[in-house]
Amino acid sequence: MNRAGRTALAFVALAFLVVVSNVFRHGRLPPLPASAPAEAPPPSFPGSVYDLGLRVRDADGVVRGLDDLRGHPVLASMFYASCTTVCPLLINDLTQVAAAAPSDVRDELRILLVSFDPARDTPAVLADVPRRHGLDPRRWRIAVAPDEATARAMAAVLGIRYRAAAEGTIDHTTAVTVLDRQGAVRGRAEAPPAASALLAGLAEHKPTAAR
Amino acid sequence: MAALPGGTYRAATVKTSEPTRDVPPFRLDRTPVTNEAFLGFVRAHPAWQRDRVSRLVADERYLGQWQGPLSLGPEAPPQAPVVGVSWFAAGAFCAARGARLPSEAEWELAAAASPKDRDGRRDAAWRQTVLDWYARPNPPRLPDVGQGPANTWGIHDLHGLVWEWVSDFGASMLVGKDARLCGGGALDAVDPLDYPAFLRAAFRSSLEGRTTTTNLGFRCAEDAPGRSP
Repeated sequence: MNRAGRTALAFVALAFLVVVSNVFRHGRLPPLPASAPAEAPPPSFPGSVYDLGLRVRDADGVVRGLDDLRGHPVLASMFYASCTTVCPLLINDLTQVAAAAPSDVRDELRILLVSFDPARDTPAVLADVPRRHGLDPRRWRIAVAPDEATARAMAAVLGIRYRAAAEGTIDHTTAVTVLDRQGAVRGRAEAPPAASALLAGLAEHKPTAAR
Repeated sequence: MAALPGGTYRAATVKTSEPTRDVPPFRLDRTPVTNEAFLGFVRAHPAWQRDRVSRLVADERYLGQWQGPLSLGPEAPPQAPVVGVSWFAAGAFCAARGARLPSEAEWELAAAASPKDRDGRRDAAWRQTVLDWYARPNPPRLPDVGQGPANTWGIHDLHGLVWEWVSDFGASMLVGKDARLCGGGALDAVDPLDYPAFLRAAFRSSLEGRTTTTNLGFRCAEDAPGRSP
């Protein structure tokens, strides 16, 4: 598909992403699953990442929402599979942070890595990432944003900046976002110690996991 | 909307070794989105009211210059540009119109034009006019849209009124706050003379998707008719 086509698709998807939760709330489409709030949230509601309608393509090729992560503490970041410098370090950092987490958090912890490179990170490429790095597929969800608009929206939620650079590389930042069991953003970490501290904070709040 | 032919673009802040990008023909609003227009959007989409919006997609100052969640008041004249909107909110407004935010490339190509020229960046007098705006403090109350001179495409207020969101603001990475970068990203300027473009890149690099400020608004864009899907 040419760039114009991708752009057009991307913005159709953006329209869907950004507006769809409102449309759902006001009854013009079938309602969200029971876990979604029926009414608009009260003032200062922190908001759940799972209510933004973000969808990713998983390694099986299927595009689906993030709802299966509800109820789990989550470390979330973005990458691209052909990155040979910082991305392996990021995966290594995430592995270490997971291993060092308090035991009750560690058992439930999920790690979400979303690629911002839909052109090259096909399902086959995604499926190879856990094999290459020895990652437990029950803990790691390696996915790709299906289009640029989704990638930009996901990056905006996760505080990631990226841009296409020379020779097929992508310059990007590597912040790790810590989500609590409801999908609220509990903080962002640029390095493993900060991520570990945020995870430790989730252990103290475990009783609120009531969904 | 004004129709623009597109062209080639390379951000003012990337290395000259990086390839230019082809920008297909597109259309761009002639003026920024007004308070009145955004109020209409919020009425139709109550989840974007400032007392209901998720803090993930709009910070605490979202639409803070309005008198109430559904009333503009004296600080927000109906025909003045809406400010205090996040990237998510701006994108949702455009999507509700069947449009989208312009990309940085599209916005900058449009903004390169002067009242006389498609590319006014070499015109020292025009460049100074643009720079002067960046040096002026914001007026306490923003003037109405469309008062500034139209550029050669018939587009107003790209300079001199408010900063504006672009769809890929997250591609601007000038600030060293985020320490680790995958890749090069050195700052060998394409065009050191285009200083306003550096200012805008620095500003964009300071934003998050939920950020709002009292001088940041937006306008919408769309693909030129007939562009293949």
